[in-house]
Amino acid sequence: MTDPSNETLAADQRFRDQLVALIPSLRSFARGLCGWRDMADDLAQDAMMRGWAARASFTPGTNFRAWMFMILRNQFYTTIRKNKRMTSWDPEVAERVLVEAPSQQHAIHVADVAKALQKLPAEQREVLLLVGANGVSYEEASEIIGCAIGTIKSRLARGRKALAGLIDGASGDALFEDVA
Amino acid sequence: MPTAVTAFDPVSAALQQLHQAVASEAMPDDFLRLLEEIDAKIAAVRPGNSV
Repeated sequence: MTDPSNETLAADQRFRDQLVALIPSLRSFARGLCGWRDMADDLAQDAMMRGWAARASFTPGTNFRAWMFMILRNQFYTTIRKNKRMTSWDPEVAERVLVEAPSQQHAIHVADVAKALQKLPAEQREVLLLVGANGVSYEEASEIIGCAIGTIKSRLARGRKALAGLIDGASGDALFEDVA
Repeated sequence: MPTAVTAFDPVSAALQQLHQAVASEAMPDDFLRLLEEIDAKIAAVRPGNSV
């Protein structure tokens, strides 16, 4: 017969390993949400601690990433209500990166995208970050945010269009005419 | 069978780059300390260890 304490220990170890693997995504999602590096890392750590404390309520085999993103997102909205400093993206990382199509003459600075993201409504920004940046599926995003898949799709489309418009306006060219 | 060609989408590429830029950063010490705390909690409940 299996010792229950050994099972708990093994479950805790698996949970810990999943948490470690998710840290880069948690940091990235938090950075995009709040736009401020130190606060984003605090947010990600807070979500990790809350997730660990609530690990007994996580059902093994279900979507760990969605579960953790949900915790982080809830914590973000709780925090932002108390703190109005979360407004601008940390330019240190973004300004080092340039996105360019291999065979195209145009390029956009990721810093422009990061700044533009912070100007979008939070409901559009979070969908762009989940689906566009983190590669989360519509279904997963729907679970994380707690709304219908159709709502996710429409927020994504509106967010992409708004983001393209903001960047297009900032750069003064017409890179994004085709973006729906 | 024809292969679909996906046009370069600068918005999607930029969003992915944003993610990669953060994800590829070295993990800050605060996170390592947090993991050490978790490891200590796990070790403390191992059979034979007293809390």
